[in-house]
Amino acid sequence: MVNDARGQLILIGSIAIALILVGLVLVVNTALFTEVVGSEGTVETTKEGGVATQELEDAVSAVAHDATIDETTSTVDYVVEDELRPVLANSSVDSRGAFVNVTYLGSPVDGTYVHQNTPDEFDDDFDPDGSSVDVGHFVLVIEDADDMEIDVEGTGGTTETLDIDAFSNSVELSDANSSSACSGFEATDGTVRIDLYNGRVYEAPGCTFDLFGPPEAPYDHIETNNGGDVEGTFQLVTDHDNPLTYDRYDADQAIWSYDFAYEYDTGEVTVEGEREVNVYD
Amino acid sequence: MTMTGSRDRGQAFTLESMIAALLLVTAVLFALQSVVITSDSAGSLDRDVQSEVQQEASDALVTAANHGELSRLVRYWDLSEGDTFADAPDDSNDYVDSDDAQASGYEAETVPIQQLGETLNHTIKEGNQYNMVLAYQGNDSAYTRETQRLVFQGSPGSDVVETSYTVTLTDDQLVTGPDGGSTTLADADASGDAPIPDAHPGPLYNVVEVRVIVW
Repeated sequence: MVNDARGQLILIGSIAIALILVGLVLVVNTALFTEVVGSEGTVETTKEGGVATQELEDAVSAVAHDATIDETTSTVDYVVEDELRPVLANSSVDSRGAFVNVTYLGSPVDGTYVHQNTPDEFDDDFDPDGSSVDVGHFVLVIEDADDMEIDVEGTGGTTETLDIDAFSNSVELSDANSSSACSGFEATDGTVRIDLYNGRVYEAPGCTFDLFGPPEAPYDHIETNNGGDVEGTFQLVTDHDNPLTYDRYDADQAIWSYDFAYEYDTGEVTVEGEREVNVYD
Repeated sequence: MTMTGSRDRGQAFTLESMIAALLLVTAVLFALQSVVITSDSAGSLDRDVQSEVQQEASDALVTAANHGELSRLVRYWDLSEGDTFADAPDDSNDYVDSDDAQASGYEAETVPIQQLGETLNHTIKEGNQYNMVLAYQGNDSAYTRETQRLVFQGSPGSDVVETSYTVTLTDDQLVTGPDGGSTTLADADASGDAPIPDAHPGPLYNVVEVRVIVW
């Protein structure tokens, strides 16, 4: 016995299955499309706003540090609002189509800028007597390289030493973490520029060391050994608020931190706020 | 017993079954072809991968900026050669010879800052390439924009992503090239040796955008 309706049953069943498949595809595609298009732009713009805020912090920190080094700390508000602001605004519009604004709010916290601008011996320690300090910047420019040690003692007595060994025109740095942190790089006409705080040597871009990392801040002592045999200049910025305590080197007021307001606006997302910027963070 | 029935019933069954099969196959093909995001094919990047690469390149730049390495890179000038970046393989005053589109700036592994070249190489997946370009204000009264290549691996393809980080330079910062000595950026500009000009009369030197283009 043949069922006359079997073929029709097969046809109807296949149409139903086909319609179900098409419906599933449409629903899933719509969900995926909505998720991708709806969220991606906002997430990316928010991340971009975070990076832009960090760029603004770096910018206001850089001009504050320059005012410290130049001993013109009173002009930071002018530099931030009359020079930096229009430049950042133009740069941001050009590159990202975003509006950027930065405003100096004041409330500066003083630090101390200790320096030796004319090449001379390093025959004294770098720390103020009897005070522990935090360090934000420490660059040594050795004009006539010779053997020298720099010791940093942190809170709790942890000490780190950097050995600077010079022979002929070649310089080697070593610290406790490795037998030789930077070996055999050439001093240009006897000059070696060492960023002691960040552990970098400009004459040897691949060289790194860690002098201020192991000891814990604030630092009780920053001392030299055989510094009298070496000539050069240095720049040191600490959070000590009284330059007069440094009676051995030249010392002036530094800007350790201050308040600023910022705004980053792309039309889709606006990031704005006020914060204290630690110039040496 | 004699079997009876229309001879046409078999043909009807066959026709109906064929139509049903065609409908099913068409529906399956439609479902397989309907994709919102095109998968990776012929070297192109899908949106998720593009977003991931862009974020990783951005993270590499931010990390380098946090360690001061981006600032050291844009100040890595050759004062003996003048108006060029130190250790550049190209000998002309233009860092990348404009007549040779295939000329490279730094080999990525030897970009003269701690780990940035290696980080970018590890971050940017095999099969992709990147260029690094500096954009900054030119040395004139009007706000003009100049660019300079640092790393050039070729002309970008169709699925390109870009990320950048802005570095602020000031007059009293030191030139970080090997022969920089105690020369500040302002000194280098005054003697005509600065590849990035002092675009402002006050303590602000210039604002440099470091761009990484990946494809």
